[in-house]
Amino acid sequence: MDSLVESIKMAIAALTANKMRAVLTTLGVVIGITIVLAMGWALSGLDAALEDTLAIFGDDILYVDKFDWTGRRWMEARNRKNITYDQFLKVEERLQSPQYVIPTARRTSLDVRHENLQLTSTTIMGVSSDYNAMLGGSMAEGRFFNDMEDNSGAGVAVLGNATAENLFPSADPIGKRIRVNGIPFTVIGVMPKRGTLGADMVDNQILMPLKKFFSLYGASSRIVINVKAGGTDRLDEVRYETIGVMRQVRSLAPGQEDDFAINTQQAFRDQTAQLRFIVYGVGLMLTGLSFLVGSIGIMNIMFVSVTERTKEIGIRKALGATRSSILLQFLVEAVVLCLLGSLIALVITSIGAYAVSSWLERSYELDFLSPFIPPSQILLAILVSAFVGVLAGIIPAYRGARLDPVEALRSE
Amino acid sequence: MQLTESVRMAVRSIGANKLRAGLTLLSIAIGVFAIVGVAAAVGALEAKVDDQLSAFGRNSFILQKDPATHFGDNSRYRNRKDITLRQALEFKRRMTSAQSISLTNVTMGAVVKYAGVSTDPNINVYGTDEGFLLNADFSIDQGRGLDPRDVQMRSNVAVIGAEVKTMLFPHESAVGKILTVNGQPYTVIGVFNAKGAIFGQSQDALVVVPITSAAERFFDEWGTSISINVRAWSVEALDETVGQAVGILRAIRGVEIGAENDFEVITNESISETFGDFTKYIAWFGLFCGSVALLAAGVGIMNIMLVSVKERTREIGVRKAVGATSNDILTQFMIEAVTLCQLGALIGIGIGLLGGLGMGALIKVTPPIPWTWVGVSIASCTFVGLVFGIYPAWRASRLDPIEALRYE
Repeated sequence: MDSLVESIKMAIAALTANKMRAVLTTLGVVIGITIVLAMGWALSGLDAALEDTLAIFGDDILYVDKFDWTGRRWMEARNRKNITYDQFLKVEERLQSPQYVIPTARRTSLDVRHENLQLTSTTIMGVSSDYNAMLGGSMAEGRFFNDMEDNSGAGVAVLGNATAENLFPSADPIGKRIRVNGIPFTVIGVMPKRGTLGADMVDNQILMPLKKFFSLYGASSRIVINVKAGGTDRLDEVRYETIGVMRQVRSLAPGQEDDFAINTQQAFRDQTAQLRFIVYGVGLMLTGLSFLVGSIGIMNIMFVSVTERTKEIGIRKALGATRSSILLQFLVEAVVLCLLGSLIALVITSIGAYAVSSWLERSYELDFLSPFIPPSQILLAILVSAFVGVLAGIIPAYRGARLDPVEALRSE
Repeated sequence: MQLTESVRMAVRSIGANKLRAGLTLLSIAIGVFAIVGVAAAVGALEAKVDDQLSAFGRNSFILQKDPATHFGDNSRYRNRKDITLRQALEFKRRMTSAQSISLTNVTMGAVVKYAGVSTDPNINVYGTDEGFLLNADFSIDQGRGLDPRDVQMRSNVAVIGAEVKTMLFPHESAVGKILTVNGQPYTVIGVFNAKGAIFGQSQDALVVVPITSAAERFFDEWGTSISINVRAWSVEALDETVGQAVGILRAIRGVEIGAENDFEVITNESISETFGDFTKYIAWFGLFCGSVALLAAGVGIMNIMLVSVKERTREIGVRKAVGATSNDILTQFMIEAVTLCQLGALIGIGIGLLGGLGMGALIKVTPPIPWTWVGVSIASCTFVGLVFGIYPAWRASRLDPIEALRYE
């Protein structure tokens, strides 16, 4: 222990004796670690944004549709028969295990007006009255439509958060009349904000009773059945039951392929996993090169340091220093350089991360980047830089430790 | 004369301290590798796409319902009507200024059977005509390809891909045999040469039949939209031919004047532009990372040059004493720094190009040498050498010869 403290003291003395050199070596390490940390920070921000986007789907909801949402066999799925409302009714009746079974139908790019404000490309969703309960039941304002309104096909509408903001920039939307492609609706509620950077379409929609949707666009619209399992642990069970029931309802013979797809959050996650892996790999590898360069700089300067101090090593050895204490002396010097570099880099990236994320939030309302470097990354950066210090220091240190004291003392 | 002398001295002093020089070179090479390696890898990807595109032909374009790639909002083309066989045939009749016109409709995931053996449901069935061979860059291994008569007569004949051949006819000739495609009998008239896989996807799991036959047998069941592949007489005539083709197809589909096209025109350029936009970002990212690494390497060079100046104080003193000017000393150390950097750049370029070649070998393409990026890295290395070499060189040039000579 004593020898470690002694070594650290000696390392600091050696570094301050040659300030310019120490500063430059540290600077190389700082550059390397800063860019790796910044990259890791940006990647984890993007990752969080992706996770948020995936969370919109809900981790225990199955979406039964004729299309596979990841786009697999799209050409073939296009020609499958729509899932109809009648089929939904049969599925709802036969499914035992799920918490909710909800039919949804949608139409895109409709034109919505309130007074002289007009929104194009709004999506209309026809859903049953349980829809909001399935999503957790919260409302930003007003209320969701009830069973009665659903069954009677009342002309009421619940606005997505962005739709409400765009259509009613200053006024309270509740109770106001809007027109969807000319058809009048009364606004009774506003959904909470759900979308993220990657996916804000859920906030740009208008929800209406499914019966009303049918009366406007026909009862043969393509239905997507939302099946909420009520817990991720029950997802598989519910999935198998749903597939079985769907096959019965769609009258598929044994051996025939499914003519529908069960879409889940997991499918998207799996699909993005490879891309994520590549982005992470390429990003960290390329930035890691700078770190490598920084540590080569340390190694180089440690060699110089050992050469210059050959006489000192000889004297220490002559006075009884062992090989291991010489080794420790130079190793500690390298590790101190690396740790110092990583500390400075941490300060720089922390300030940078805070500045960039708050600037993005202020100027563009983008809040996916965290203003802080995640602690796990900080820990990792420190550990890795200590490790790299050891690696970059060990060969020069070993060289110093092996010097023959007689030869070393004689060196000029 | 003086310059060659300086360069020779620089090389000698680099050689005198091999370990130190080696590590410095390595750090520069790493930065350059990031720039050139990424650019070469991107070049390989682009070459691959280009390869695929030139098979399609520089003077060809496609008219079809859906765009080649689509993201997000698809409302613009979701409700478009299919391009029907009738429209496509009418187009072929009216469009007289093209070199060739070929119609294609693809049905994915078909099952092909012969003598009790059936394939997985992953065979693509192309309903097409005699133009397919040229447009899709296939060649015939055995038998023959489709000819105009097959299309006219709605013959139930098929040309099969190499993978289908090996699966169903491992030990016999396929030509003349009758197989079924999703239950419909077809006589095999030819077998394609194998093209191999691209990005893990086999290109040989296909069956090609006359489009008229496909229309009769499959179109009720599956998608019916037809892609029209038009080949202009020359690259120069491409724009004009596109204009005519769009006019004719608009007339056939009854698009009103002033309304948008209700179909897509896909040219070579539109595809490679989309891809080029994407790869450009990767190359820029490589440049950014490489530059940061070079910056770190530059700091390292400055450090090691300072050490070098200090160690050679006596030498500098001697040179000054026998008449070297401050300028001579400055040049000497500047040239040493720049030479180090450029040597490092050469090594980095070598490794980077090798990386690109490896990437190219992986996707079976010869990548072009990214000369621009090679130039960029040599220039930036020279720049790094100058910027980080100047301070140590200046310090060396300013040494007082008397003090320097006395230095131990």
